[in-house]
Amino acid sequence: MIAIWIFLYLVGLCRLLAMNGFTIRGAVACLVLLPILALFAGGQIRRRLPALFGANVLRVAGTLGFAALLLLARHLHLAGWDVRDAWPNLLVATGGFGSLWVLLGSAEEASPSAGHWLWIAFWLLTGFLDPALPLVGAGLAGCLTAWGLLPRQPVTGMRPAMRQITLTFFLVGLTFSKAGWDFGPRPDWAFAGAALGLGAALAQLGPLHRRLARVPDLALPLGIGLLAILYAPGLLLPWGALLGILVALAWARASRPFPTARLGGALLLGLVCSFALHSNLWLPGLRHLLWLGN
Amino acid sequence: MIPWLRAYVLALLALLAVGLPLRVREDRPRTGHPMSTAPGSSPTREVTSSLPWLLPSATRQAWLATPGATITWQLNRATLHLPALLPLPLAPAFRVVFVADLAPPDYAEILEQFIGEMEALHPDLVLVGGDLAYAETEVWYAAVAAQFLRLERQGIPVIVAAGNHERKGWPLFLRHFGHNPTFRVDIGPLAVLTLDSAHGRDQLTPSQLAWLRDNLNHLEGRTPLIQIHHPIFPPGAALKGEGDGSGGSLMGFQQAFLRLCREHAVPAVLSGHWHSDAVFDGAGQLRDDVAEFPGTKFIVTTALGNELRQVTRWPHAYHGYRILDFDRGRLVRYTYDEAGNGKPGPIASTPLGLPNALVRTAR
Repeated sequence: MIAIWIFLYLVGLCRLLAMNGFTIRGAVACLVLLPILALFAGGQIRRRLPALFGANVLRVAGTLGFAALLLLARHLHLAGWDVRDAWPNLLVATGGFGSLWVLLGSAEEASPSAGHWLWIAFWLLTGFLDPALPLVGAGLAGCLTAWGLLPRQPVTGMRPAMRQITLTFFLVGLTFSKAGWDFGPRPDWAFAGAALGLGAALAQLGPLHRRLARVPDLALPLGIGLLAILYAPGLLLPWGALLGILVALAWARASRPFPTARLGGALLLGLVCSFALHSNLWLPGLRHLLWLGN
Repeated sequence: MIPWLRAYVLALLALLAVGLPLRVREDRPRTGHPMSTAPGSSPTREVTSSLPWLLPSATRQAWLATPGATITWQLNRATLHLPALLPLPLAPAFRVVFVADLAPPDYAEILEQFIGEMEALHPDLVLVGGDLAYAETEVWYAAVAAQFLRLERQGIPVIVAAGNHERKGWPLFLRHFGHNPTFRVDIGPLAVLTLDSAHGRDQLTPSQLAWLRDNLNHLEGRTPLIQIHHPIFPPGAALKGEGDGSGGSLMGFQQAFLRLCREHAVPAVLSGHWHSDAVFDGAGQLRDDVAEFPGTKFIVTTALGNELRQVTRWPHAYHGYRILDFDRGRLVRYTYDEAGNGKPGPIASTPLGLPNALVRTAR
């Protein structure tokens, strides 16, 4: 559920905001940021107020979150999002809170299975139909989790993380968003998302999974960083699939319990840095690194 | 397996809940985004449907009513390919007006004046090179779109490019001028290629460059004309005045862009953004000596209605637009004959003010 929320809600929301031009003007626009802030404060709240995370509360939160994101997608479908409008902002905040509530209240899970990654691939592909749809995938997963209907992988024990895990998640955010900056309003970026999910699912399968387990930790940030430089739209699908394999490996090497706030924050920081870098090509030397062949 | 099947069934139901009732968004033709009309070209109509591979029955029937028309799909993007237009001979003369950096709402009368002048001049095509609305309100975007619609109703196609100011009201721009700011229109002898340089800012991206390359490789005998909001070259040695504060020039894939222009003999690349006139040659030199020189002309046009600036040593500053005359697809004039002696001078665009423009730039 953590991977689903991060890739479908957090990344999907950033993509939507970048596409539609987000500016913090007034309280209405700030509504959008509340679920992201809750990502960082949620762990504390859960420790202090465990009663707010009972099964029934989670069911209500999950259902409400799903309904809000469904309404949001209907509202934005074929139209676009003016972030000065209160209604979609309220929906996206409610949807984010609802699904995040379920995430925080659910028992710790092992790394995502092939099924979870395929779910991510499917919903990222729906981003081609409309960029708001991946958020519905996060909402539906939250609702199903709250009602105990989404398959779960129980964690088998505590485990330390690889050393460069925060950097790796930062690089995932930095790299994955490149297709979005490249295609802009064109929906083709969704194919890169689908390829990422498929690549990650592939990495979970038997023989490949065992071979990939031998990849050294340091290869993950290096490989993901290299993919940020080697991005080419003509190789979108293999690029996305390779990134997906590395993402799945990194996810499996994060510590358990999964440090949602830290790693989600690192990925978010990567997305924001990627946006800032790709919007400021005047920085000397940078433009040659950001786009291959520039 | 069963839980996942159940989840996917619910996922499909969720997609139906979003997409029903079935509806479409018109992507082409629409204001600022016309169909190709050049003889021999293949016009298309494009819509985005709320569900993949499905069209509302009214749309489907209307589309298939045209003999020889076919529909292709990319998930929920439907394209109706109309039969290719007959390759009739063209009139030799073709006139294009390029305008950029339009008037803010406080100066709405300038936009009104421009539309009036276009109605009188009746060019074959009006290109709007970005920064068309300096106010991010629905009312103003609708007003600007309505002005362009006036021209289209008189048979003057309008092709709109996105500028950096459009990013401030991006959903409004997309709603009024279409969700695909990178597109091609074949019209008269031209293949007009509209690019979006404000994607991040001042840049082309790899996919746009690939799109441009692909289109330049398939011109089918048409003359390519490119409009892109940001100027391709910086002022360089010609810098004077507000060049540093003007927002600059193209940063992304500039060299690759220049190479494509050279290889495909692009006669002109049209930009705005500086609120000032300038013309550069392929080496990035300001050509304030002559209007005629070999290679692509990288033409920057003054603002129609926003504040004027001096960016290069070119000293003249006035509100205006640029008239480009083509003869059998060859660019024969793109500057304003200020002296009125029949010899085109360098750089100058046409000042706003109809009588002079009409008299001095008669075809």
